[in-house]
Amino acid sequence: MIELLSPAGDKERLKIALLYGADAVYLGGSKYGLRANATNFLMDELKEYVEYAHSLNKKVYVTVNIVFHNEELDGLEEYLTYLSDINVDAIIVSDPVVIDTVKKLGLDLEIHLSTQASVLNSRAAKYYKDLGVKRIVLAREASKEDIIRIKEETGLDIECFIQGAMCTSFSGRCVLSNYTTNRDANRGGCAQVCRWSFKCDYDESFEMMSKDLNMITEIASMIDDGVNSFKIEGRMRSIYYIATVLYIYRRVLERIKSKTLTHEYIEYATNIINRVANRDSVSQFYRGLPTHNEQYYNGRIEESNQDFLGLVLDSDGKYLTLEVRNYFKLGDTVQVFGPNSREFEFTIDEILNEDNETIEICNHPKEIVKIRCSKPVEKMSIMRIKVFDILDEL
Amino acid sequence: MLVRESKMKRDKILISVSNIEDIKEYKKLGITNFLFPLKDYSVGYPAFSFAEISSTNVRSFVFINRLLEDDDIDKFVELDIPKNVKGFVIEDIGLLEILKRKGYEVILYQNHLNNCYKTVNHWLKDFDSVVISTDITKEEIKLIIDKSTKNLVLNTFGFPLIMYSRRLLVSNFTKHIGATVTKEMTINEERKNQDFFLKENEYGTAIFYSIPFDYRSIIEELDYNLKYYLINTAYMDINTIKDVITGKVVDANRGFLDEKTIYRIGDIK
Repeated sequence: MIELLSPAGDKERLKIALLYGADAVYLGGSKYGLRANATNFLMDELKEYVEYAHSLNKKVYVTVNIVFHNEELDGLEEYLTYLSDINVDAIIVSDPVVIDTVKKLGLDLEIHLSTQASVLNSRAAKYYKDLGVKRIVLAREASKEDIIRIKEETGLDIECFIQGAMCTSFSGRCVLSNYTTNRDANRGGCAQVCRWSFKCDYDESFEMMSKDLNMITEIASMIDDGVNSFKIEGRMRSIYYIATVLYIYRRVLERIKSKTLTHEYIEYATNIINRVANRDSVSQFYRGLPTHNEQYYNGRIEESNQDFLGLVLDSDGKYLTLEVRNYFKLGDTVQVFGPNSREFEFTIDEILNEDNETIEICNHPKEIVKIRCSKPVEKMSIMRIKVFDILDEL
Repeated sequence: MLVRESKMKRDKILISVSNIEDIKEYKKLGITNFLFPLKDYSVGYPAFSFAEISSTNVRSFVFINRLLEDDDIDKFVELDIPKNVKGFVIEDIGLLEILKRKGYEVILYQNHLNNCYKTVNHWLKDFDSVVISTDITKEEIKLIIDKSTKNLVLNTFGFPLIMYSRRLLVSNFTKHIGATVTKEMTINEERKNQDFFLKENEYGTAIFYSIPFDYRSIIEELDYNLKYYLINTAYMDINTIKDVITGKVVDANRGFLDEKTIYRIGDIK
């Protein structure tokens, strides 16, 4: 089975991810995850959301992928036992101490090796397979040939990142953050120093930031290579990002399955994803070594766009009820897409506030408004400003 | 910043070679173990072919710090390893089985990853020794050494390699700005006025911090369970290295020996 795997940085993102087509989500518990700044999940919440995901026949993987220091060993056995007790579907680990602890305790926990281990060859993969690892999240530097060889020679489940930010470094092999900010990159404190500008002997500042990863053009090829799970990066990304990316990749997978994926759709999907990510994205290492064209220079400043207009809470076929996220007004042409419904667009001709008064603009985030829309709309649909013409040839 | 001098047992020094001409100077000082970064299999360091290593006829260890693809390992298997090579210091565990089968001493040096005694002891089931991380405090190092099941390698002196990328960061940048393409440069982070230097070859880029770390002062206390003291000579002049070996004070700092890194942002006091 081909799996679409989404980040879930908090409860809202988790629900959106599962609704919008993720087969599984990965998230950090209150301990031992590499996104110390994400909200992360408390123990009771973990249990609740594992049950929720399982009720939808979907999976939850929990990251336990820090590089351990002596002090983190306290509580590890209890934590892993708890994860086993609440039936998480797998843990994602990088430090072998976690694998040893699972085995010592005899826990029924499936183990996935994190990309932090930077596995690029079948011999290293085999070492981890012999330890009991079921799946390997390959290094983001893995090429098509690496993927094929590792799959052929180990038979392991292969998980690859397909979308999102890239470390400039091999994962786990960078402590720039430790040296510049004293924040431990390998325990969740990465300050993303590779995105900073540095003085050098040239007139221009030295930069080394990578463009994002985007594998839309390569998904079919990766399926042929033997990749089992397609992973989206970004536990701290917005629900709009998660919904959009999942919506697009789910449709790419469907089109591959039905042999209806066209160049036009790939171009459309790439435009949508680059817009929502607010960054350019490329396929990075899959077809060879990235060049200067796959990096960002010139002190790029990320200014997020305001495309996400609101979340649809309800719809009665006359009006849709919207939780506002960004400014819009009467006369704007907007697009709506939902967990199970295609994109469509319309022009706003009436907005009612909570007192049923007609208003012309919406500029209060979280305000609840009604917008006239004769088409029934799924709950939890996303409304965005129109930027591109919709391409939905199916 | 200056550090206190301390004595090192010369026969436990594992010194990296940056220039073959320096070996005779090290031998005069009683050094017997030499570490050679291997050409085509290392990033960030002056590197040598097996033929060059063979020509030195000294007790040699081979340093392979690249993360490898299967093709690299296939090619490695075909290489003739000189008789004076006694062991390997490696980053990628994909080489482990091949090297153990040939009977070599194999030391794991996964930069930044071996920060915990249980992790180290995991690797010691398969490796002959492990190089302890330089990202941890003296107390953390001491506990690892106390609890380790085999003698360990203390990374004792050198410029810290703090980032390893597969990307060609220097040549990409110089191409971008239209300058003559180069393979090395120094950069400066303005807020703290920290310098870093980058070294690139076709296999990637290594970034080093410009101030060397010096852990000689903790050797005496921890020596009971140390196999080697690793001294990395790359980008140092020979006189500084001789001062390090002979216990003289040199310009360096104590790295993270006295300062814990922050786990979570909320931990910042």
